[in-house]
Amino acid sequence: MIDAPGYALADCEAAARTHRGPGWLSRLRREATDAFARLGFPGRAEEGWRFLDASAVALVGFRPAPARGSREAPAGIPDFGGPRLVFSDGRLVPGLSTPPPADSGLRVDSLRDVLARSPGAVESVLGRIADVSAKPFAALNAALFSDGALVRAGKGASPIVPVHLAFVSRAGASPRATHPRVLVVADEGSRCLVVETHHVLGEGSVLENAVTELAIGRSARVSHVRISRAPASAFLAACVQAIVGPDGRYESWSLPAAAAFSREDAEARLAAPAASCELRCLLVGTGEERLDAHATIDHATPGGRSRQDYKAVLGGRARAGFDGRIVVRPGADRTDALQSSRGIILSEGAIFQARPRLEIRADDVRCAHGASIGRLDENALFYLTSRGIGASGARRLLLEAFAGSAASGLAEGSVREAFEAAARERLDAALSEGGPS
Amino acid sequence: MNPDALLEVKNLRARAGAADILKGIDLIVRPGEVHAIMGPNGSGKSTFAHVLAGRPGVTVTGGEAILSGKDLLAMKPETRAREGLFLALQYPVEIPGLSTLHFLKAAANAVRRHRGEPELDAVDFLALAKERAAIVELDPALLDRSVNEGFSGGEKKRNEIFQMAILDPVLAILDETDSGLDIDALRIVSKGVNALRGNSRGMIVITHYQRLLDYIAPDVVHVIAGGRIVKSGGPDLAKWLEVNGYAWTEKEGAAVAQGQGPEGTRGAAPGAAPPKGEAP
Amino acid sequence: MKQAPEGFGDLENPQYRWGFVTDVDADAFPKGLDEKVVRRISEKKGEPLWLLEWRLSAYRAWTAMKPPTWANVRFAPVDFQDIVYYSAPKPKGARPKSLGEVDPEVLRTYERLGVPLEERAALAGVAVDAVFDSVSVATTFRERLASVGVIFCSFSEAVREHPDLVRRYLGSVVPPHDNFYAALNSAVFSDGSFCYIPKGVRCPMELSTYFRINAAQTGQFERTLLVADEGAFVSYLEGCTAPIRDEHQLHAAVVELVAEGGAEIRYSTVQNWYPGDKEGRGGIYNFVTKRGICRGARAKISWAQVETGSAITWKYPSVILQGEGSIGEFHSVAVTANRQQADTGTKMIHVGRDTKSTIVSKGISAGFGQNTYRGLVKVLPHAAGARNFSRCDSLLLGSRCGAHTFPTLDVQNPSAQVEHEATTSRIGEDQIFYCNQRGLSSEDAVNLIVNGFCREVFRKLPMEFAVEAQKLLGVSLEGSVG
Repeated sequence: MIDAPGYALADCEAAARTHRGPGWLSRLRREATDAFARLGFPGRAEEGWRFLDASAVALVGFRPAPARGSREAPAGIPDFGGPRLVFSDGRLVPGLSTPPPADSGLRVDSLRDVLARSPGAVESVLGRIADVSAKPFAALNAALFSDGALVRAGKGASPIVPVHLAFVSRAGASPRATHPRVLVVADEGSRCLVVETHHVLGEGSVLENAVTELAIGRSARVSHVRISRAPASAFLAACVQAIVGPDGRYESWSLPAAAAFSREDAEARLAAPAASCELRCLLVGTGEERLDAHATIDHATPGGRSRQDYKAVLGGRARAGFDGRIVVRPGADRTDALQSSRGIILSEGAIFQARPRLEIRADDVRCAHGASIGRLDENALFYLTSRGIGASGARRLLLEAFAGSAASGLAEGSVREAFEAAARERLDAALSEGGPS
Repeated sequence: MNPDALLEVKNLRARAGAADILKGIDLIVRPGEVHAIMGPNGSGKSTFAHVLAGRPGVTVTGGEAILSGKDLLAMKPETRAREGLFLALQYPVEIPGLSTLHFLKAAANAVRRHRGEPELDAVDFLALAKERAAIVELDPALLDRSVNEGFSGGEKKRNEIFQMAILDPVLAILDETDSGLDIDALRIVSKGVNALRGNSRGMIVITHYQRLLDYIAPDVVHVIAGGRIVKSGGPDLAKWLEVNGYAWTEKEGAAVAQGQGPEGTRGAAPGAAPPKGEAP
Repeated sequence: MKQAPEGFGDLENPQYRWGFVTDVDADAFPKGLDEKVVRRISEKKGEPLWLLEWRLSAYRAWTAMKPPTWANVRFAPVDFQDIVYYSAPKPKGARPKSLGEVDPEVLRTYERLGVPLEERAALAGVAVDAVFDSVSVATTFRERLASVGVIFCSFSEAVREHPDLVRRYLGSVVPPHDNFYAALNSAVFSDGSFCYIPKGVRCPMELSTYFRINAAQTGQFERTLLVADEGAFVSYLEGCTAPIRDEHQLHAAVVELVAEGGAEIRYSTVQNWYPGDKEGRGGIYNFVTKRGICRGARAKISWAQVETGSAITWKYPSVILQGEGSIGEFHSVAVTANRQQADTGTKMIHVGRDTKSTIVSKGISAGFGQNTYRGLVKVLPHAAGARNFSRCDSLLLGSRCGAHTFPTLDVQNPSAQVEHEATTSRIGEDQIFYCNQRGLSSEDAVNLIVNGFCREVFRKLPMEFAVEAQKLLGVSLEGSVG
């Protein structure tokens, strides 16, 4: 463990003073600060951080980004035709944000506004889903976040348009950190699609430390897409935590960015009977990038169904790891859990580490996992080139086929197109750096 | 006790969970007879089969069942099997990792040991198995596979009959053996069952649809509803049901519950057919 | 809580057949460990100076280390000063030269264990090196092995008779500072087996070792070193039992295997540790470091094991695949019942080109048993063309036990192909009923299904071991039918 740096604790104290809010929020921030003080930044010796530890983060003095956010939209923020909130360096940019249609059953607001005007709306959920007592980055976010997004789908709501939350973090003259925060609440029987796009820009040292909490009610469905873009010099931490209610369903598609340091923790707790979730993720790295993705599915009650499908493509000398945990508690009978992790290594020097973990304490279950790591199939490559396709084109086609299922299940439309385009872009980068393989 | 009965069931009552399913079944099966039991869903057909075989999850609350003069209900399931009762399940279970051949050899020898017959070694058993597999047109290669694992619906049902052929029971109960089968599979399974009919063997064929009985001709047909046998008759009763359905059993079942006898005889004497001119 | 269906119920402690204590004069040290004890051990065994120094350097490294902890295994900390580190039966007069001279009480012990020490065991083709507590008592058939140049003797004897060989290979696969228990073992190891197969020789019989822990609170620290020179072949069997005691007993062994080019070593273990009673009292702590290195091209090392019992098991037989085209295999069945905990697995380290590894691990948990598989397949950057296939399956009997698998696949070479599968299954009520309805008792049903589950692993054991393993599994699951 690396001790929590003094400046970071000082920033937490300052934030507690600046962001006044209801008593419960102050208490939350204080608990988070205490947790971070106790945990510090995880070092190599710590369980769960051996593959990619946070010592580099500790060395750089990340301070909160200045309060003045830019008013301009950087290029590359997509428009999905639905309600949108754009945050720049932690501040809402109203001019770029669009409210939801009146009859959609959706509420899309800045957290700052909600906490100022009607904090009761989020008191029972904000900060109660992502447990900070063992997660230093989530603790830091809870202590330091200035603004964020609330998405609420009302009972029975079934909007056809996706909700888009865009977070822009810019590098500056000195190292800076932003702490995007998202809270999604899906009431009974609702259905919604929430897209988060994260854009880290500029070449200085930036730490984007994001937390998303999702509370999925009875028979509700939430589809959650997360696309991150960042330069190779960035530092990224993301914590996504969902609680799924009876007959509820959580599906996520994630395209995290690999960078100097990138850690994603996704956790879904199937907390009521017949809850289900599917987590899909595509990890692509190149150059000297690093990325460690952890996923946990906690089957706490009977009849839960979960699927994890993680794919990785590594070129250059990139290193990525996937740690996938399935926990089945005593009494969680008729659990149906499958996990698959597959990696392709394109070049010497690239490393992929798969760490599937099953912890099973009930017997009437169906649990399996499969993992494989290898290279592109030579026979398939030959087949394609023998039909006249050039070698690099053939590699690209096979890679796309391999990575293709990362978007499966996502409804056709602009969101899926954006996800697939971003994936293709990364695969191209990895291919161009990966040697013949 | 009826001395020439193979199976005698008297006022059998049983419950599954909190529900009373069997409310007093009477039945006599003599050697050589094939009895069909038909009825609507939820009537207790499968429960009756499970009670006779001793399946966990059902509790006998009254009555008796005697097999070859012995108290069936007092025996553990494996003892009932060794005494010669065979149940072909509606949903045969899969047992991954256990080869069919290995499983059946162990079972066959357990039955033989009980009967004081010499056990079969691997070579002899394999020969027996191949011979019997031919009766149900079962590919012997299936013998090396794990029990029922990856078997199609038809293969599973044929596997049940194949096992019956190996274990040579005195009373075979076929629980909706036709469910999920197409015409070809039905034909093959029925051929196997018919090849195993014999003077010393009794059979109870449980089915919802009359179709199976075109292939496996019963001697007696019983209709079960509300946990009781409400009507018995000859093979024509099955055809009559095909035309008229089961809706009438609701009335009939109520009548029986009130102590009034149904038309026709209950627990029919073999071959008893209903009086001509009336509804069978 | 759901009741486990009839057929296995709770895996009660079956009458543990081998639970008895031999009443023999033991020449024991007082409890505790310090540098003086290490010196005394070395002196008692008449060891040369180089070995004493090796022990001392290991001891010093050990004092600076801390015992490892794992998330999934819970046990009371061991008090290392509360253990006797040396115990040997007093020989009557000089060392026995033949069986007739061995303490008859000791021989009776072996008879009860079923160890074939008699001359007629030659027909069975098994040479036995019986370790009674800390000193090897008798070794048979040495002449026959000696005629083909095979050395198979106690470790202590090897130090005396073949010091160069021992010195060349000792610690070359598991260096003393490798881990806490290896360091402890290197400091205080009592005895064990040494085996050397010369170039091109196919060892004419299966080699085997039986040993047991007897005197109260004696840790057992064996050291085994097995070297197959180029083109040699050896099949080695290891089986252990232990008596019933109330205190936990510590077992920290080290096994080193070296396979030179084209050589093959098969190492099979059938272990039946006293599992602790229903409350988890009195079992054995079993911390073993087992590692083999395929040094030369096309060398092959296979680990095959069947384990039941043991209060706490921690062992990861590993293979370092250095030689080009070398092969590593690991086949294992582990049964945990009552309150046993097992944390086992394997490591396959692919270093050289075109190396291949196969892992098949079958875990059976019952009662409150917790079975954890922890594997590592690591492909280093120059291990081009590495191939691995792993499969770990868990069978749960009852709803209160646990099965956990933590395989790690670490691939650092683009031409490697690594695959892993894991499944969890149970023996359900409906499967037991199906077998009942075919005339099989519930106990037979469980045995059949469990044997089917383990079949792939049993096939890898030498025949008589496979038979013993099946019996052992049957005994472990005995008394489980209500």
